[in-house]
This record gives sequence, C-alpha cells and structure tokens, in this order.
Amino acid sequence: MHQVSFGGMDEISLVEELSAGNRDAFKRLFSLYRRQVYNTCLGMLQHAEDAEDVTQEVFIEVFRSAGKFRGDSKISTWLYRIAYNRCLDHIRSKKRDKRSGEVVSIDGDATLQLAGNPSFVHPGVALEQKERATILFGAIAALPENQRVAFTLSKVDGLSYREIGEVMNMNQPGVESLIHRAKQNLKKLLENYYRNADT
Amino acid sequence: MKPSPEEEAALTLKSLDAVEPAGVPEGLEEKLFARFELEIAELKKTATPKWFWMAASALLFFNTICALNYLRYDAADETESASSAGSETLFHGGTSWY
Repeated sequence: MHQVSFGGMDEISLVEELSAGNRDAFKRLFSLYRRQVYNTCLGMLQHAEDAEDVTQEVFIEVFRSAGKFRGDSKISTWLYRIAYNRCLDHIRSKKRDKRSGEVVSIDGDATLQLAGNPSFVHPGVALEQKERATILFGAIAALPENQRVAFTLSKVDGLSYREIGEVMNMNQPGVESLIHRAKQNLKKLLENYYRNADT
Repeated sequence: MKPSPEEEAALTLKSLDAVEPAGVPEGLEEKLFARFELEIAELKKTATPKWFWMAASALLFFNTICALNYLRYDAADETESASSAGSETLFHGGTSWY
C-alpha cells in the first residue's frame, strides 16, 4: 500500500473520502493531478479541446471507480491508467468516425505524410522550436498505437519504464523494446520527411 | 551549409527535450466541478433510499423470528403427539376430544 500524505490524508483515506462523495477530496485530487492528467491527454490526443474533454472524463471516472481502488498502486499510476484507456477510447472512436483517421500531409510538397493534427502546437514548446515540434508530433502520431503511447509517456510525461509497464499492463523489457522501436521509427520517418522536403 | 536530413531528424527529435508541461486551460475546473455536482445529484437520485433498507431489514428479522417460532412449536407438537400415542386406545375409546 502506498502511503503518500495529501494535507494530512494518506492516499487510501483520500480515495475513501472521494468514493463517499466528499467534494473537498475531489477538489484536492484535482488540484494535485490536473496538470499530469491534462498533459498526458494532450500528448496522446494532440488536440487541446479533446484533451480538456477527456481530462474531465478521467476525473469523473476516478470518482465513479474510487470504491474499486485498493491501493495496490500509486494514485498517480491509477490516474495514468485511466487517462491512457480514455485517450485510446477517444482515438479509436474518432478513427471509427473517420474524422481524424485520415493521414494528413503537413507539407504539401513532401511525399512523406505524417499523421495527426497538422495544426497542433504543444503549448509547452518554446517559440523557436515550434516548427520542429509540430513536425515531431506529426511523426509521433504516425507511430503504431502502443509505440506512440509508450514513447509519449516516457518522453513527454517523464514516466519511468516500470511506471509505463504498470499503466500499459506490460513488463519492463516489453516497454523498453517498444520505446526503442518507436525511436527507430521516428528517426526513419523524420529522415524521410526531410529528404523529401529537400527535393 | 544546410544540415543533412539525418542531422535535421536528430535536431527535431532533440526538440522534445525542450517541451515543458502545458498549463491547464482556464475554465476546466469550473466545468469539471459542475459535472461532478451533476454526478452526485444523479447518484442520489438513483440510490435506493435508506428507509427502504431499514424496512427490508426489519421485515427479514421479523420473518426469521416467526420461522424460528413456528419450528419450535411444531417440534413441541410432534413431541406431544408422540407421547400421547400410547394412550391412543383410551383416547379414541372416548366419545370425543371435547
């Protein structure tokens, strides 16, 4: 069991208060984890409004399923897992709707096409890096789903391989292998992109 | 000199190190708390009222007591019938129970 104090409350007590419908517990949880949840959703969805909606859904689901939390993992890992599942559901439902499933070129002249939201600029990117970051996020969106998630959780959210394994229900070597393949694929995608942009 | 595609790719990958966590949009908190209140109201509406569980518990308790009593008196009756079986001739030799 993880004993982390939240203003005098341990994790289990906080979740117990939450499952009883305590508004203060909900507010405390939100103020502690809003940034983490929002940034995870933003990194995975690459769409500010969608990330905002899914962040709300994550916290509502946390409230609904608080009674099931047994304290086997940290609250943060539990939240990441819910956010991860919600984001995947969102991505899949969007693909089903064929609203964002289509591959979009971020450069009309380039023959290589990168996926994702071509107008997405991560709000945490410095101005001089905006162009590169847009290309990079396009390349990340073109990765296979589990590589994209593992890479985003590692490089954007800064989770350890062990934590990513807990969130994605995988062992550590599996996570390492996913991230390694994600890096190789990104390198290839970007090199092809710049090669084609030159010609 | 223009960097090669390999160098450009490496620089672009490196740009991820400079990504800072984004701030939470304004208004998210209000929207979420409004949804939370709706959620609580919905739960209250659909939850079975406390008095129902109290009444159900009381009824179950009463039924259990009645069942136990019935079993006790039934067993007592059977014992009584068994003990009076020996005087059956005498009893039935009479005109009636009354």
